Amino acid sequence: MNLSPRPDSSDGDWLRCGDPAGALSPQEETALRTATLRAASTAESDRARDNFRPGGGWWAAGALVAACLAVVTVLHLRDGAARPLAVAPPPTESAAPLHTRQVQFVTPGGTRIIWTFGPSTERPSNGEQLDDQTQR
Amino acid sequence: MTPPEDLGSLFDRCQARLFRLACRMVDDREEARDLVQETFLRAARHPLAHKGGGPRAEAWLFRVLINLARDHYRRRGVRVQAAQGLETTLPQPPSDPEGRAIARDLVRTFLRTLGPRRRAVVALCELEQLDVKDAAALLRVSTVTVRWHLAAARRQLRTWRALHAPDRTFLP
Repeated sequence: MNLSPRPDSSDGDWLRCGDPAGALSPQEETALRTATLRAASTAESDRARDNFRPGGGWWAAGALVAACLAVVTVLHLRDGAARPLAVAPPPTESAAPLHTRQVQFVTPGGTRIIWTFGPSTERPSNGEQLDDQTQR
Repeated sequence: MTPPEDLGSLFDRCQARLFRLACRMVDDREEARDLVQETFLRAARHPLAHKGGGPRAEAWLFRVLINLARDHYRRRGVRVQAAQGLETTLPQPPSDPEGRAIARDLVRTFLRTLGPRRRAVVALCELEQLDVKDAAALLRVSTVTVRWHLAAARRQLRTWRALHAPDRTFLP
């Protein structure tokens, strides 16, 4: 493959002889220049106005951050409301013994006494305890 | 120097070259003028891109114009139009033998058959006679790519001339 940067002279001359390039007329040039400078001045004054405004773009940035926070908070709250309340698992068979207590005594003669306190066991009132202690 | 003054001097320095390039990138003069105007309007909206003027600013303007020309090409579907209408749009020699006008029409018709990037390469290297390195920098491609497009354009041109303008050399 020929990677020469320039076509041979006849190709290049052929192209250049028919080069469609033109030039702007002075009126066109003036009009274009005026339009360009007007656009530049407008853009410049817009920027100056934005800079003069207190806070400038910081207001917009702050508002954006606040909006994002609000959205996140609302979503979080809504998710929390929609989420079902934590339900305790139903008590299993193995959980039952946790509510029972045993007190064991062994007499000198070797007799073992076992007291079992279940959930249904009522706690004696203070008066009864006093009675028990009195009887002892 | 304020941005408008900066842009004014940039306009004075670059408008002629930009308009020449635009004429080579699109098919008619009005479109070329619109491209140049849009290029400078973009420059007005983005003063930081060409701050300080200089060669970098000029290169930025060229890139903007080339990108606009590519957008224009995509919008118009010029390639399809050219492929379909090549036989009918080929300019016929006018009764008044204005060689230059015929040559211009033929070159423009040939340029229309090229894709936007290859057309930009031909416009910059052949018609504007920039170095391959400078053209590559403007187009943000490698020099190998520019050379490859030039070689391909050369082959296309030879084929095209053999088919459509075998006896027209336009050389003085």
